[in-house]
Amino acid sequence: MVVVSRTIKYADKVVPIAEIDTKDDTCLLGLRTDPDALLVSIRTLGLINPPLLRQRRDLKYQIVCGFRRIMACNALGLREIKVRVLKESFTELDALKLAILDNRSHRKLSVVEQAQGIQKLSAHLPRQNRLEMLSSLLGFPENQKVFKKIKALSLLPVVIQAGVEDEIVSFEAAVDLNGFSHEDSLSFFELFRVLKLSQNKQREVITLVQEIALREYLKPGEVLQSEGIRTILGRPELNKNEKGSKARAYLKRRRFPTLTKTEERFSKELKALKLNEHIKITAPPYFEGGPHKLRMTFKSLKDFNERRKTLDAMAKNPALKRLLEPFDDK
Amino acid sequence: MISRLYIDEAVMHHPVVGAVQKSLPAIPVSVVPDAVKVHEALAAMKDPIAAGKRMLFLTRNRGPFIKKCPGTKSYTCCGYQILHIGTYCTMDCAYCILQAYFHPPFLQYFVNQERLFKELDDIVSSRKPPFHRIGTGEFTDSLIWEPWTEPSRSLVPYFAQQDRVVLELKTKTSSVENLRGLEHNKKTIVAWSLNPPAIIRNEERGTASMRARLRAAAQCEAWGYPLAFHFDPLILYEGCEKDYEKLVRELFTSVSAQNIVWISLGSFRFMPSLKPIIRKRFPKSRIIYGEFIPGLDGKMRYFKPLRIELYRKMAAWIRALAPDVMLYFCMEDQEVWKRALGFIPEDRGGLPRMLDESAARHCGVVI
Repeated sequence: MVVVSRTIKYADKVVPIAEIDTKDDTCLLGLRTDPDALLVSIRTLGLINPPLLRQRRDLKYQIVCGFRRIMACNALGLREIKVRVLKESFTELDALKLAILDNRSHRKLSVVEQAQGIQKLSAHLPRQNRLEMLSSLLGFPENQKVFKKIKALSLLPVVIQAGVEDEIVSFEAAVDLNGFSHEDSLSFFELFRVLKLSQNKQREVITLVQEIALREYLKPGEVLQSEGIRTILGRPELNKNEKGSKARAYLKRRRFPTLTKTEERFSKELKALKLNEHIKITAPPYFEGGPHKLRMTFKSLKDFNERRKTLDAMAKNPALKRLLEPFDDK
Repeated sequence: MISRLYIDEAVMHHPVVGAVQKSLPAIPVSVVPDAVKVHEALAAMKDPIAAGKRMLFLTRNRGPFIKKCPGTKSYTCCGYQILHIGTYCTMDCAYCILQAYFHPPFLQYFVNQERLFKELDDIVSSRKPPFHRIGTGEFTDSLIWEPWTEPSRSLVPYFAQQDRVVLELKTKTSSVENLRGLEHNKKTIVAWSLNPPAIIRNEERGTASMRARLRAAAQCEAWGYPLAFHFDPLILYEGCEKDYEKLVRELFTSVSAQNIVWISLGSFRFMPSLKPIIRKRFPKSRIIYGEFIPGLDGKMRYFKPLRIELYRKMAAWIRALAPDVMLYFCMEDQEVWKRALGFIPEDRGGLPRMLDESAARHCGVVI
């Protein structure tokens, strides 16, 4: 565990809020300083834990710990607040470490906070042992793969990082977005805002769009803005889930047109066989080879005989031949 | 081309090593205890896959020199045997499986060829060899080694003096000069992988142009060598049919169909692990964005009707100019054979048998 290797000396003071530079986010982890949850507490009990500040050379105060507390006091109209001011001349790196350790003393950092931490700390740390130091400070496994993913998150537009915290986009999908221009990654993000997709489906959409774009010499954003997608998104009768399924189906059809056509033809012939819920036929995976599968369920001899009749009828149905030869266009 | 020569200390006094050093006089040399040192040097490189093409490691083959081609049960295999003279390639094709096959890939040549010929002797002297076709072009290009080790100068005459097995030298180069004047007795087939100029330009860095390959083939034909051609990998792209049709025409304008022992067709297929490598090393390449599905062997393949369609057309173009040429598919199933060629190999004794018979007809191999 990396620690700030000395006892911290500070002075209790009362300082005017106007002298605190609330825009200085050097030691801010995460994206939000939204004070809502603290307003009631401070209004009722006052400020229990004074924020920790560092006085800069221009004599303004930099917030080390307590961004939200200060924002809440400000929102409540307080002009002065009790604070603790670091006595010694702490470096920016030390102050940042303090902020991280203070946060970690009572909770686990979110992945977005870890990403911000990586971005802010990396410039100050030597290359050697950087991963070890960062993982120890920020609390992620000491693993190059994990580090790269979290770092990738830190390079995304802030709105997408916030989207990870708000669960609009999954962490893994956000990491995938890092390979795109900011403009394109924001186009994906806008799509995920209006569709309900699981992590795997978000990643599937990203891959499909990327590969369609490469195949068709387009930008990913242009694929996402295509008429097919816009039409689906513009249908008011569909909910987020339905829009998600339709958008995925549209992209899949565009990426794999022949496969999709074959699957549709198979479904059509399957329907023409008029099977009931007790008999199911499945095609070999991707129609590549191997047998079709027939699944039949029954409880009694009577059931069995009924299924047999259905199978007999199926055998005489010309749709079965067509179903078994999905590559014939006739 | 070669920027560093590594020599396994176990073979440092082997005559082949001396010959290679002579052919690469200004290249730094490191004598190493094993391949680990080469791995370490490569690991430090930005693009180890590209760097491995410039590092030549001379060593001994500890395993067998004759290996079965790694086919799978799910698709019809031709029963080819590999003569394992070395690994990797100096050329840089986007689709090359060797990029993902060896970890990491680097040029490796086995100098202990005494054992290679001993293994061949054992096979040939049995008079009933378990196979009739063998080639050096599976884990490497057959002719890239010529400037340094000249393997054809010993292999071609060796095969010439027996009548049981043919050697296939498969290449994308036009380096055939060493084949001139060798006694071959038609027991060496010189083969080229062919693709249209658009694919060669975009996906096959450092290979000979299509024209140069066909000129080299014509030259080998003039020297009496039997020929073979491999349209593999066939790649689907806009305008590909026109290009492949033109390529077929150019092939038969350059060489005579009667001297072609076989022509194979194989569509582009790849292990999933190759995809990120191509994406990274060949960012402009579009070949991995076709309609690929996971095949029965785990490799990605074009969706079957797309393969069948291109095969049918290729077969028709080839058949129109060379009705009797032995045409076969590399790693396809019976449905593809039936739909594209109208028969399955089993109807004609199986694919290995069909190829052996063609080798017998063209090369005089006794089967």
